[in-house]
Amino acid sequence: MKKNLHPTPNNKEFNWEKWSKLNKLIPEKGWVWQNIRTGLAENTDWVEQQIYYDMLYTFRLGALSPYAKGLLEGKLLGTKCPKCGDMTFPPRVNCWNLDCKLEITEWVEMPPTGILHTFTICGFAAKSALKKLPFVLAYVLVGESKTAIANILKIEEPWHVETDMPVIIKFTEKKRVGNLIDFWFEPDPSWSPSPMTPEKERIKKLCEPVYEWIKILKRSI
Amino acid sequence: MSEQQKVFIAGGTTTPFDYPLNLQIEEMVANCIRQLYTDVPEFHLKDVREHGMVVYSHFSVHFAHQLTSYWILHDHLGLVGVPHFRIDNGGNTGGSALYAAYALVRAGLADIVPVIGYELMGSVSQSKGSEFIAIASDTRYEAMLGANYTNYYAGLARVFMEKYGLTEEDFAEIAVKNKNNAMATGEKAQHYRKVGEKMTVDDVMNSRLISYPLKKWDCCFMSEGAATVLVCNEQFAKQYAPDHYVEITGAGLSSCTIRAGDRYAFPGWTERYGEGYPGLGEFAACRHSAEVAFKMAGIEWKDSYKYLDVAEVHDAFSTSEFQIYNALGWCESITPKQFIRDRMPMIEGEIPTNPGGGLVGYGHPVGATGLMSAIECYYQLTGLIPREHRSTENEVKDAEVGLVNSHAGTGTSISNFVLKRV
Repeated sequence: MKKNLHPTPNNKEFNWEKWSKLNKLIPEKGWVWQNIRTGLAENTDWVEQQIYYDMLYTFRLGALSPYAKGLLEGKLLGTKCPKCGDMTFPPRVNCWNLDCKLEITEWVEMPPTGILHTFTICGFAAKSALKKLPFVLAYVLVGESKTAIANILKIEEPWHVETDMPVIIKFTEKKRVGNLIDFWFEPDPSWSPSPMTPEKERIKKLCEPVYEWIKILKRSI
Repeated sequence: MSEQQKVFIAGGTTTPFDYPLNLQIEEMVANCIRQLYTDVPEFHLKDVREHGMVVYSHFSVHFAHQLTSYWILHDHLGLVGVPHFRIDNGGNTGGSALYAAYALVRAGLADIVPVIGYELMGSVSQSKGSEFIAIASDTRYEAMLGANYTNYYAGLARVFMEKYGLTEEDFAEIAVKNKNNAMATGEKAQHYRKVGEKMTVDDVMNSRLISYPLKKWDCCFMSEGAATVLVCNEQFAKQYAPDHYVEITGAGLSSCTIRAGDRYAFPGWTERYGEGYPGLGEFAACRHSAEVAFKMAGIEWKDSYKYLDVAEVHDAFSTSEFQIYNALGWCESITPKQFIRDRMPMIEGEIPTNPGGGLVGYGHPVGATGLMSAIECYYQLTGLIPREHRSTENEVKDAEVGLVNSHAGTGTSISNFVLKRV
């Protein structure tokens, strides 16, 4: 069946009642005035006001929906252009080759394996990820994808990570959310780390205070 | 029909880049323009009203929870009726705003265009601030991981490091250069204001891990500040600053992927630069925009430093400054390793880079950053360093041609300009 260029979901079939209940679980407050501080600095009046503002976003995944549904099922869905054959993960719902004139790509299941292209060992990150420190952020070419995807590589001793190492993709068994936090990379079981090098020793040393700091951080939360 | 005209910079000022928090944006920008009135006495905002437009350079609306904050500024400056718009192009906001002003004057649509850049980033906690900036990455695939730009850049640096056999110390040399240059740049530079002492490679190496190979002192700080660059045609340049104006002889702007992982084999780049380029380690947008700007200015990309006397580049991280050297064609005849070990970008080297301190030393209030680089380069080319820095320690004597570079995302948008003393 030929797809409509601008598909419009049939909203009547959607369970709106359930959805609106879910919405209410996170109530929005909007502008909330919190604190005011006043003082003098260099003989000048100054006032600081604190305002709290929150919002609940609803993101529609549209044509990317199969990718998110795939993650819920523990599958990696990438895309392949029927014209030039380029395969990408993360997916591109229109081909990136200008000659293919935004050809609509086909969904293909990617193998749960890849090759690590580059990496970093994080000693600091955004608030939500602090407890995971030190973690490895890796760019991995999954299957035959022509693009690399960033995700976390779980490894006992992060200093052993090396470029071009084979990795596997693992999915969480907990509640999946249809986002790339549903999966992570791990070293391929067939891979074993090479002996310690000066760079590995150095990274190990740099990580030591991070482990200590995270211990304290976890205690205080 | 308006005529094409040459484009000049006739002045520029910055505020300190850790501006006191108890100021509002209109005060900060007004102070910046009041300074411009002192530095360029002939300048008058009335001229802008009669012959110009204003380009505002501002990155994130999240920090103020205020959309179109430049409308507030425009009213405050008394410019009601003057055309205005805002450029946001990530970290390259300043460079892109300068590019817009350049295009307006070049096309003859305006004769004088002040580019006003500003950013307040201290309204939220530092980790929240990093998260705000990280939502300039593709939030569906990157920011959700809890990583931020430091982590992405570190990943790009690691593959660059391996490709060219570089060490952490090589990057630390760049961080130390910029921080120590900022010490001579004086009171507006953030490193001078916050840290206030010279540093060594050991200091950088011993600072805490942020994201390997980056340590604390390899990175720029959260900053707050404003900068204004006066872009105009030849007539106004001669009127405002007869002895202190420069021509923009080359301007280039280019783009690369938002997700760094997508530039592994992006169609188009391979045809242009060969198999495996840019990969994740090279800034193809920097190379391309430099090639465009250099061509306009009659400079060859390969070993382009030979044609340049000074450069102000976008060193959000010491590692990215090194990747920029490579993208500017500076490491073609000698290896990147040799380039740094020969101390080429140092103040005494072949191509003094970031004598103003760069982002690592001077600061990075995003909307103002690219303009600060242009202003520092302008000071070098017009002999204003002793006046502005109150020191000649990092003055590049008799500099005639300078490069200004501004850089966004993970190398997602990059602009380059060639400035020439007139």
